[in-house]
Amino acid sequence: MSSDKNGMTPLEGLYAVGECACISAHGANRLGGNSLLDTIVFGKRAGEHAADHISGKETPSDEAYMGALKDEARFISDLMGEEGENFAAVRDELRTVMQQDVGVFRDRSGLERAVDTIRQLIEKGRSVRVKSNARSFNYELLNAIELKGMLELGQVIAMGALVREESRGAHYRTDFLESDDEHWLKHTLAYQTPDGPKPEYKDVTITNFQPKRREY
Amino acid sequence: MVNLKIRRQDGERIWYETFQVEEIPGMSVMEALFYVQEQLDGSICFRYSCRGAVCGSCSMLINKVPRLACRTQVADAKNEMTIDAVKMGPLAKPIVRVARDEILIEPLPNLKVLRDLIVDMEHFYELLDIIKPWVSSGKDVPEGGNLMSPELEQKIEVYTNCILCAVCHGSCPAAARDETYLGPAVLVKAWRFYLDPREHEQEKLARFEAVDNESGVWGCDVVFKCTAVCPKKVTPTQGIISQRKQIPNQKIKKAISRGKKHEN
Repeated sequence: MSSDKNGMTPLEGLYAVGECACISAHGANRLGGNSLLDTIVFGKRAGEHAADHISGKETPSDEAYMGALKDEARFISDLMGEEGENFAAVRDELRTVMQQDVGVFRDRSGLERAVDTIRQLIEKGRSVRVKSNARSFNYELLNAIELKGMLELGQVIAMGALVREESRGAHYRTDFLESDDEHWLKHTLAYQTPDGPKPEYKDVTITNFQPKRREY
Repeated sequence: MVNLKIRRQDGERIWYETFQVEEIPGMSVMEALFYVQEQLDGSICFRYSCRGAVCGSCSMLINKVPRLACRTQVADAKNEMTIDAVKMGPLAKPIVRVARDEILIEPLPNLKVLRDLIVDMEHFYELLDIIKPWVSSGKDVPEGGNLMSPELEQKIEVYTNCILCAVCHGSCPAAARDETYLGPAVLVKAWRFYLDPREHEQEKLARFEAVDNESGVWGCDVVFKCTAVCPKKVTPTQGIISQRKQIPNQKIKKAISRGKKHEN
């Protein structure tokens, strides 16, 4: 999620920090062990900013939330049912295609295949049903909800990787081995639209460290 | 094939259910539980997160031994016929099991079961809060930071490796009989902050006061069960014994300084 230096996303009042956020502090991929910056620094900044942002604002009435809650309740009740796909079957297929075609080594034909397969899996995912109606710790329901997000994210990852005809950070294209700063020194962002995800791009904030070729 | 005999609980109802799992090489008990949850019965629940012994969420009782499901191999557990007395400490009673190719899975003892294999960790966290598990000197850090020698860091690291999984709490006979007993994880955490040179003396003393009672270091049976089961090789018993030695010294020091004041 695109966040500014205070963690605020383009959706006013919604904050994103940590692994879900694109604050642009790291390069093409955050290296392991470097999450402290996001948690300690930007977590604090976002918390403080959020507190300032809401101070003096009126708390909306409970009724204001009812519409959203009803939508959510409907989304969950539509997921319940005896007959339908098992979430694990769809998830395993997604896992396989992501591993094979969107993993460490990527190329155009594999990514095209992945985009196509994921599109089909999103369709298939609509018929996933949850059998367990446990009211607490319902992991089957939790997994079914998460699957929806995984399919959407898998789709934008594959689409973004297909369009990005270069190698950069953890994105390694065997058909485009070099980085292409002229065209691709930018973050990929995707917005959900009724016609599917729409890609947009965001400039990279460069301060002290210029991007350079990795030679180790 | 391996059978998972799982203790189920929903509200007041408790029952045991056996599931047949298709075993694959290298399968952990957690993966076997995933198989049950995804293929056989979606209503079964257990906690998990990292799957690699970092988060400490999947603590449960496997063949009567508290341990992490992610770190326990099906191949090892399915034919465990006895509980190793050496591993479990000298006072452990060996448990003889008759079923082969079966793993008995139950929730972690000494905490309230919420559903199936999920226990309420709240009580454990409340006990932890009693000893204030943080360094209090956050605001007066000297210029250049608070330096610590590598030797001391290593000494403390043994204790900081704790992932708060509560496996030790589930193995502890003192915690089993006394709800107010702080337990191995909390008591060794208190010792860890005593060793920390960044911590203020008065906070160290306050922590000693919190553990200088039957619910603290004096409640321990010294049977080393916690040390035996810890997945991160923390040695809580050692930390408890060290405090039993150190606390009287502190009391004497305190008494002497009070006496000196009196003379003045």
